[in-house]
Amino acid sequence: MQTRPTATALDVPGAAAPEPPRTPLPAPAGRRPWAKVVHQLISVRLAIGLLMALGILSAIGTLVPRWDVYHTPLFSALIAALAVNISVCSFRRLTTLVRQSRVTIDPVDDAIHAKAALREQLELDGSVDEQAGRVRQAFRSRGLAVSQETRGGKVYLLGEGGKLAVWGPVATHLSFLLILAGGFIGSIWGFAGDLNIPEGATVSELPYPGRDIPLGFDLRNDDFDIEYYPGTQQPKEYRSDLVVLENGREVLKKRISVNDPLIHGGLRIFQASYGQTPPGPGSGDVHVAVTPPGGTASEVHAPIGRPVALPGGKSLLVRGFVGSFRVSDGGQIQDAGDMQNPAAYIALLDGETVLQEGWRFQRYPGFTHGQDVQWGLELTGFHGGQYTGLRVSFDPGVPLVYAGGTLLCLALMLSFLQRQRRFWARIEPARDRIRISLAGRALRHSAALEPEMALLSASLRPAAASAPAAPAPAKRAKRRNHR
Amino acid sequence: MNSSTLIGLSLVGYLASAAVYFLYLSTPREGVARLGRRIMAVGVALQTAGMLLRWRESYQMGIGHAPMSNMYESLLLFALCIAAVHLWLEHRHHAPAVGIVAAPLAAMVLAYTEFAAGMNRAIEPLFPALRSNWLTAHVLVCFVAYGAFAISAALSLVYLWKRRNPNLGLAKVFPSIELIDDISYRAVALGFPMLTMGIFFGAVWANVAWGSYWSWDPKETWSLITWLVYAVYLHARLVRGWSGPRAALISLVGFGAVMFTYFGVNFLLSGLHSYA
Repeated sequence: MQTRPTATALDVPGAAAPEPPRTPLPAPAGRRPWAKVVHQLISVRLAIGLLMALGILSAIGTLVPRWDVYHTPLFSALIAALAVNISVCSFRRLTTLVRQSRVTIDPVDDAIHAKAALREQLELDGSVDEQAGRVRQAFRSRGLAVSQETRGGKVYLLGEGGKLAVWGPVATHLSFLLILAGGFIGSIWGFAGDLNIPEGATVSELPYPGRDIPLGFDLRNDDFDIEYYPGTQQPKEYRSDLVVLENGREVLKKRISVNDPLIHGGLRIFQASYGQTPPGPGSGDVHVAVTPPGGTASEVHAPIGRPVALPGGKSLLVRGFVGSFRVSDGGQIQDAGDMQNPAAYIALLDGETVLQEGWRFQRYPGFTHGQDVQWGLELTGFHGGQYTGLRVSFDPGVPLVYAGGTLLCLALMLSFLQRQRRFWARIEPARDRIRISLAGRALRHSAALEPEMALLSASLRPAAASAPAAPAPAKRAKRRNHR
Repeated sequence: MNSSTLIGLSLVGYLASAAVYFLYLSTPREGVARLGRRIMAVGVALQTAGMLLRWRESYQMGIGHAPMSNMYESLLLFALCIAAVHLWLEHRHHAPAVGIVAAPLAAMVLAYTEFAAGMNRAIEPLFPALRSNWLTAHVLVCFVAYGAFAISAALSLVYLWKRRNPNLGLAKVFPSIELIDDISYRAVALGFPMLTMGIFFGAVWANVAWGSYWSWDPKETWSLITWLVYAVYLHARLVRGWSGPRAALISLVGFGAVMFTYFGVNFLLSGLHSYA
């Protein structure tokens, strides 16, 4: 049960892990070419090369934005190779760890007390049992799990700390694989697209290159709204009041904002942007400055297609509006769609009789196509509707990515902020006193245990229980002599 | 007492701490290093208080966000994290050498934020996308990582310099190059999990705000490149046994990537992170 080999495996100075780290893996026999391939696949050298290649390619990708390197077969192949490498390495490591976790370390180890690089001896008064109790206490107060054995009048103690830390690296790599798996699933089955919905409108499909994707429900935008910081023009929040309808029935209402999406039917719907829609029949209005012959101008807000009464029995009718007026080669009036040249077709009526009508341009007031007009009718502005810009995304890989990321963070902390370490103590009578021998060893870098060893031995010395030993002054004195 | 007074006082603290650590170069006594460390701790406390107060002040202005939203505030945080990581490393690994590089570094960054021309120090309202609790978590852990990487890189420089000039009197004041190398690694071992967490928090946030946890935005990509460089560092060091000059060089390359992620991307490339 108490197997020595494990303990000696740790004796390799600077050993990184129980598995042979620096020493290359046994070279495969030349007769088996596949073994060579496997040997390469599991080498850390390959992993380092792949990480570097991915880093360099990514850097090029940011400097040459036109080249979408991240979605090239080369980039995918590198990630796939990394995934294979990590999988094989992790599997090997995992089997080793499982085997080792079944091995218990023996507190009785005179070899450690003779050979370990980090050793201390104290001679104190009292009895063996009393001092053993103090050592046990000191180990426990440093968070070490203590086991004890008495043999031949000597008490042997073993304090183990950071036992879980040895699982850190393998957990780190497995969680990295989870993230890659999530990313892969998302890239195969996920999709995302932009959806603009004017206020009051309902949509049921997501425009997507090649084909429109049915949402599986109807989505209505009741209102879009910008909140500003008080007294400024700086937006504080963008919001949309969305309604989900299934078979004409409202099933979900939510006011979404930038950091608060709507989630329904596996789709997530985000507030992404907004914009103006031009006024049209039933939405918005057109602002017209009306100047009767010899009179003064007054502004009228006219909805499209509905006459507005003016003084003197006249009425104003806006027949149409385009945000960006353009005449095509064929003489058709078009809307270029960018709101750069707003124009309205405005008519002045007396009962059913048209007194005058024509296009008026906000950018070119006074331009009347050369017609002789009695009334001044100028387009001064317009108020359209607003549309909300939504980002719709479906990504079945997200849970895996979240799980992998969470696990990755925990596993890394376990690896680096926890330190796997073992301290041995042997308490024995030496002439009329009690001798305490301490030895320490870490899986990774035993020299870093020096401060902890100093604290341990200091806490055992009766007088200097509180002052941690500072190794510095002695060395410093030498240096001053040198100068 | 307002936040900028406190932050100004913390700058005095860092400068005093740096001065004490320089004194340590000629009088290498444990007591001197301890004094430097204590002054540094006071500086950290003052700056933390100053930034918390700035946070409160932003609420009084009706804006209300953690002081982590523009270049000025992020540099403040950078200085604070350098100092705090230094204290943690000294506490945990007991190496005054860290203070000799960390105290002047923190003082330099903070002095730059206080005196640089064209630095906008106003508390400004947040863009809608930034109004999230993820802002605090994401930025905070990223800057702990940046602070740790800065210290590792500075120690790597000291390492390379001392290795080249082992007989200079000044070089002898520093601890052994093996210890410097080890502390430099310890800083990476702290920074790497923090950077990982920072990137992960950022990804979760992006997924909540934009519907995609990763979009190859330049800042994202450069944070990944930084992460890859330090991943190479750790694999080379822990598995292939690289330490000393080669590890120091990778640490310097890594910090170069940090600097490009932090500043370069903002000035040279455009993307979602272009506000800070």
